Parts: sequence; structure tokens; C-alpha cells
Amino acid sequence: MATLKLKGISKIYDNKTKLKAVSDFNLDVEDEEFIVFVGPSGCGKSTTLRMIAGLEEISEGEFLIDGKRMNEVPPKDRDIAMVFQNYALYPHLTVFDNMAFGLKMRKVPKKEIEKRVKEVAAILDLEPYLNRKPKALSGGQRQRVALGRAIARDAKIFLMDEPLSNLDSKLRVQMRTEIIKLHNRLKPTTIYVTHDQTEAMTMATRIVIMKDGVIQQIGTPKEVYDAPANVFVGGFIGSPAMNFFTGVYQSGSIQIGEKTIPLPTEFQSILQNYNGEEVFMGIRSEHISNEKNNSVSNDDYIVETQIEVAELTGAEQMIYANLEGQNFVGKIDSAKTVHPGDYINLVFQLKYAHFFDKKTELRIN
Amino acid sequence: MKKAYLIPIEILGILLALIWLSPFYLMIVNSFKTKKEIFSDTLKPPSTFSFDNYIQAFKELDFLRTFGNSLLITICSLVVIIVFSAMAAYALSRMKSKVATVIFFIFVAAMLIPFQSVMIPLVTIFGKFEMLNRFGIIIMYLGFGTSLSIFLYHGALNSIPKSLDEAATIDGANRFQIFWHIIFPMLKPITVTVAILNTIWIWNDYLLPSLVINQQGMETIPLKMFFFFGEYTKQWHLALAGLTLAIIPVIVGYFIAQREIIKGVSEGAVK
Repeated sequence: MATLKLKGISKIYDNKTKLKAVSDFNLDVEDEEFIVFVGPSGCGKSTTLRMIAGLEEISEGEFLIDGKRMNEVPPKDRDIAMVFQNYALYPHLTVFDNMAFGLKMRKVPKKEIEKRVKEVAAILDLEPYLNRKPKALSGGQRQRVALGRAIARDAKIFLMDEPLSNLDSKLRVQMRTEIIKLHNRLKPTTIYVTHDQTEAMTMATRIVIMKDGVIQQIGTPKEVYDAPANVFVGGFIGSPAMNFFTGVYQSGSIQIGEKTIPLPTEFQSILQNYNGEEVFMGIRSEHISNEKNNSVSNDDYIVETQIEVAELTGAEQMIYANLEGQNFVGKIDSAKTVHPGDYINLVFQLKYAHFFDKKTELRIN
Repeated sequence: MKKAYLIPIEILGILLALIWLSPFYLMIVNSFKTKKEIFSDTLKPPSTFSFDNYIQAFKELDFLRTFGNSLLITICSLVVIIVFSAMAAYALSRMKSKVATVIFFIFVAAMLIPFQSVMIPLVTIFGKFEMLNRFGIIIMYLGFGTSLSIFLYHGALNSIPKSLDEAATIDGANRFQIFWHIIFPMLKPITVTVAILNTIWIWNDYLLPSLVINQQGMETIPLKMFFFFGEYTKQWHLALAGLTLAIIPVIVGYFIAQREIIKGVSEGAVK
């Protein structure tokens, strides 16, 4: 289908302030990839997508599709299809005409249009609604029409700007699966924008995490989850967010408040330059759990703590507690009955800990 | 069962309708009377129904030609007002520059200028360009009609999300195609409003045509109607017959377009 290359892309809205909405964005997208841009609101992910689409001018840098410079190419000639957050269906046209519009504008023969629209409608279960107007459709159906409009075009690149954010949570999960299935089937190069890290984790072949217009990390869902590049990524990816403790590293152990926690030996070489310095220790909630039979290893650290809040989510329970005044969340079996105020021994599986520089907030490797 | 409190409202409604319709009654009833009969008793029905007044009025008004003039001027003015206002409002609503805002406010401010204050220089200028004819008056109506129309269109356009323009851009449409295929059809309710307001005004206008096209063969209905009101005699019987003739096409037109008009107005929900 297509490869994309973004070289040092920046977006400056106001030439006086020179404030960059997107700054030095570099990314190579391989053919058939499903890239997800994720980040909090205002981080520049939609702006980047709109620059790729050609709806926003690129202030600095170069954008290439299949090796050809696209900066000055109008959107219609970039061979892209886009799904918008509010669907952007043409309200006065029927579902059929909505899906056929792009083809009509490209002067595709009528018979061909009819064939293609019907094929797409069949894929998306939209056949019974072809003569309806968008007003007469449910949210999920409208979303499918918006997808259908993009698919019918048979474009090389699909751009999706938070396409699921207007749907209720159940439908969102369902549509998420449908989009993944569609991608597996049609294999277009896709760029998907969302602020929902779960969507990013479940859909992406690679995730681009952004903050304040700057890329924080690019990697597969597993990479960004297992080895976050900085404190922001650690806190943003994963639910609940990663727990962070501030402590002082002291030859082989970390001092958090009054407690001295011995670290597994592999961290000694990593942290050798930080002796006597404050660092952030990050640990995910699934690595803080209750004592299970024979499951405690030498690297683990057991601490008795008082439960502040316990939330049963079904298969597991979230435990909100604090260690030396620093709040954290742990996960324990749902089988264990606990109440707020109870004391419980929690096991910190320190071999899964992450360390970050206190000043730069970057990962210490 | 009808609720008791509705009865006074209904009576009031019927009374208002009667008051509203009373001029029509007077016009139609008196159009069948002789001049003498009108002055002896205005309210009573005519003693004999004769279409003589109508035939005479039809001839004296040169009705077909006059009606044709009115129709031509109204329709042409309407088309240019709608096309230009909608396109201008679209451009102004989508451009986010200060210039666009200033231009928009100039248009809105123009609504406040009384026609009487500009009519003499206007006619002088148009006279110099030899445009005191039907074409000239259409241009004038465009000038006077666009302010309000742009204002109305602009409001409606602001509620149409920009993502529709963007979706159409990506679908391969150019600015004109986006406007004609996507935006303009969505403006139908406003177009109907603009059309009604301007039709009423242009169809009934007397002052502007009297200044611009007051020549044999070019007159509109309101102009020609004044031939029945001489300095010394007022031919009410003919005038009323002429007026009845003049409103018949409008009423017929309304009934034909009624469904479309109501549909247009009620389809206003732009989602």
C-alpha cells in the first residue's frame, strides 16, 4: 500500500510567539502498519494527523509518501481517506451517497461506484440502511458509514481522528475489534489518533506517545509498556497508572523515607552513577500483590501496609495504600476479603521495577 | 374531549383570522362592484357578479406583460441574491482572518442605511452607466438584499461543522464542489427564509421601480397599479380587480410550493 516518512515536522500557528504545537516530529511508517498516536488533549497528535492529511500546512520539515514529497500536494491528491471524530457524514445525503461521494468526485463510472459501495456495505453490515439518511442511524451505524466512506475510496492510507470517542464504552470495544479485523483484512497503512491508552495498546502495531507536541516514545505496545522511556510514558500507558516512589539510591538499595529497600543485583550496575542521588522508582500495580504460597522470591520486598481503599474489579482487587507517605496502587486476588483499615502484607516484585532520573525524568538503563 | 381553557383561545384565533382576512374580503367583494356601488356601501356583497372590472383591469394593466416584468425581476433578483449571499457568507464564515470579520460587519452595518438616503445618488450613478433598466434594478436589489441574506446565511453556516468541508476536501471535492454539493443543500431552510423575505419585498416594491424602470412596457405590477389613481379620480373598482388579479399568481405559487416551503423550514435540524 504505502510508506510514510515524517522528517522533522513542526507546526507553528503563531509566527510572533513561534510556539510549536508540534515540534521536530520524526517517524517512518512501514507499509500495512497500524500506528497509533496517543497522548493527552492538546499534545499535538491531531495536528500531526491533519498535517499528514493536508488539512494543516506543515510549518517545518518534510513529509513523504512512498518517497515523494507531499508538503505542497493538496489533500485530494495524497490518496488518503480520513475518519473524523464527529463522523462528518453529509446529513442531506443517504448512506449510499455518503459512501459514493468520494468516488463521484473522482469521476469513477457509476456502475463501478455502485459495485464498490455495495461491497463495502456488505462488509460493514450496512446493506439495509443504504437509503437512509445519517439522522436515522444509531451512533455505531454512523461510525460504520464513516468507516465505509473511507474504505469505499480504496485509499492507500487511512487516517482516523479519535473515531470511537463519541460511542458508549460497550460499542467502543466492539468497534475497536471491527476496526482491527478490517485492518487485518484490507491492510491499509493506518494512522489512528486517540487519547485512550487502552485503544492504543490493543490496536497498534506501533504506538507514538506524545506530550506538548513532542514525541516521548515510539515502540510496540509491549515495548512502551515494559520499558517506558520516561516518567510520562510510564504514567500514561497502562491502567491503573504506574506507581512512582521518590527515593535515594544507596549502594544496592533504595531509601524511601525511613525504609531501606534492597534492590535485585542487576540494578546495581544500572544505578551505579546515581549513588546518593534521588531517583524515581516506578512499579506497576500488578507487581505489587499479596503474599501467595511459595511465590515470594529473594528479590521481592514485603511490606506491611494499611489499606485505604479496596476496589473489587471482578477478577482482582485494587488496593490503594501508601508507603512512607507516597501513594500507590496494588492488585491482589479477589478471593481475599479485605476492608479499608486492614493491615496487609504486600509483595513488591522489584525485578520489574523501573528507575528514572529525578531531573530529566528519563529512564535509567 | 376538548379542554375548556382552549375554547377562548380558539375564539380569539378565529377572530384574529377574520381580522386578517377582512382586507381580502373588501378587496374581492368590491372588485365586482361598480364605482358608484363601492361608495354607497363598501361592506355589502355586490348586487350582480360581473367580470367587467377584471376584463378592463386586465387590459389597462397590460396584465400579462406587467406580470411578466414583476416575475422576471423578482426571480432574477432572488436567484442572484441567494447565490451571491450564500457564497459570500460561506467564504466569510470559513475565513478566520480579521479582514473577513470586518467585511462581515460592513455588510451587517449596511442594513442600517435607510434606502431614501442613498436613492438619489444611486439613480444618478446608474443613470450615467445607462443602467436604469431591468438589469440595473436586479443589480440594485442584489445590493440591497445581500446584507440581511448574508447575515442569515452566516449564522447558519457557523453551525455547520468545518469537518464536513474537510471530509469533502479529502473526498476530492474542490471549494465550489464542496459548496454546491455539501454546504448549499444543507442551507435549504435558510434559503427558503431568504427567498420568502426577498420575494415579499421585491414583489411589492414601488419606490425603486418607480425611480429606475418607470417607462412604458417595463413597469411592474405595483407601478402600473398607480394608473388607477389619478390626480382627480380614483378608479377603485378597477384597482381592486387589478389587485386581486395580481395576488392570484402569488397565492397559487404558494400553494404549489407550500409543501416544499414547510419541508424546507422544518428540515432545519443540521446535526
